[in-house]
Amino acid sequence: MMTLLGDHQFERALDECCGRVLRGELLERCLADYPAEYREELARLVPISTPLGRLGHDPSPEFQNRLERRLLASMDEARRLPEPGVLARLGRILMSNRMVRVAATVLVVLLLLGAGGFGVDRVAANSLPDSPLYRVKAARERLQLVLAQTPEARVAVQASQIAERGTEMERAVQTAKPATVVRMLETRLARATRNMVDQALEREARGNPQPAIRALAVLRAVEVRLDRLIVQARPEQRPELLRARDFIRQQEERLFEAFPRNTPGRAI
Amino acid sequence: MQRPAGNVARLIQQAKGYDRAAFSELYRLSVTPVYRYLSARLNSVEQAEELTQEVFLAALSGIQSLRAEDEPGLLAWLFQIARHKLADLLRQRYRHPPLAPLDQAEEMEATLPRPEETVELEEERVELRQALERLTPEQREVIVCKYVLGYDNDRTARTVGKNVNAVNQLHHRALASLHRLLCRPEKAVR
Repeated sequence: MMTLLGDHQFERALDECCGRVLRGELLERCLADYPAEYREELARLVPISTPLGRLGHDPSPEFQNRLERRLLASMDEARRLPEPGVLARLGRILMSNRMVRVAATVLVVLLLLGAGGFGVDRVAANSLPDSPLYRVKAARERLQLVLAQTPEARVAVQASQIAERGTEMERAVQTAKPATVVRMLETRLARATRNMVDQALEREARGNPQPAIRALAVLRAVEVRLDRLIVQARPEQRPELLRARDFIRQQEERLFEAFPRNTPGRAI
Repeated sequence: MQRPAGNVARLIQQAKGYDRAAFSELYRLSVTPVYRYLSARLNSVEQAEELTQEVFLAALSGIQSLRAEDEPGLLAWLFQIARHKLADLLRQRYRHPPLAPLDQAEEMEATLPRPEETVELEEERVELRQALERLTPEQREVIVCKYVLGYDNDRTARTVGKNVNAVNQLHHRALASLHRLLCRPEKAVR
């Protein structure tokens, strides 16, 4: 049904027709103004737009007044506070710049590597969130993401980091780490997964399905791993692992939605 | 109705100097779009109010960094804050899903007089919101700008940082995905 994707003329017709129907015109009348090859797709998609306008609603006047009073009181408080010093202001300006933040991260990682040698990095690679060395590993992963130039490269980096979270969860279960460690891993896994799927879907929407296929493959591998771990885990670790697996499944569903027919393993 | 850019630029400068009247005017200009933007993605009035408050408190504390000089720029900045607040809330909700005791929920159901039509409309909204959450962030932004905020294509394009052709394409893909999600016989939206 997506054969008209990329047809700018159709996209303009869809936009116009949705607008006309929202202004109260009958769909049939609107369809009559467009070429026959567009009508079926327009008839399928235009009705979807009608209920979308009902999604949002306006704030009540009481709420608006209450919030205005609260904001003005906060503003009065802020006015009474002393001005921040020159150094504090300079720091704030510098850190609000993305490039400066990236440079600072690179510098910290280089300093860590320089101070402790590559041995630190290697030991950190096997660490878990309850170890101080895990920060080195996290910084290295952030750096890898920053250095990935294209969205496709970022998806690839995120996919390898998600696989790494799976390995860490395995290690946490094998070494009977407390539930808090598994929870931290699960949070990191969920964040990386959502970001990766968002980016993969963006690329798919632009006609490149490869990142989504790659993302799906890594999610399926992690899901299988989590299934096994849930059986082996201690009772207090299980809820976090179950939550992680459910989230992975939800994200897999999002990817399936993007290419429901062509995906290998769709029927599973 | 959009305000002249010069007026808004002046108000922003005055608000940076903690001018109450200027800040109030900017607030009144933007509270409804920000609230509508948030309420399109949230199922309760309380949450929409709470998050709107958080957005404006964050805006007040960060107003010195605001670079906008007109109303669309101001709203784009506020929507960006709203997006971050929403992402935080969704993450939190994912970590601690709200669990209302069943008997309490049944009690509420029984005491509230809700005509069938209202219930159906509310169910439709919940389903739509769930489907909206499954679009890509860019598609979702386009749908919210066009249908919830009622922006034309130029303004939508400016808010999402794309050109009009890209907006039309995102609109088409978003409607196709929503159709797939909402019109399947088994209603796969969860």
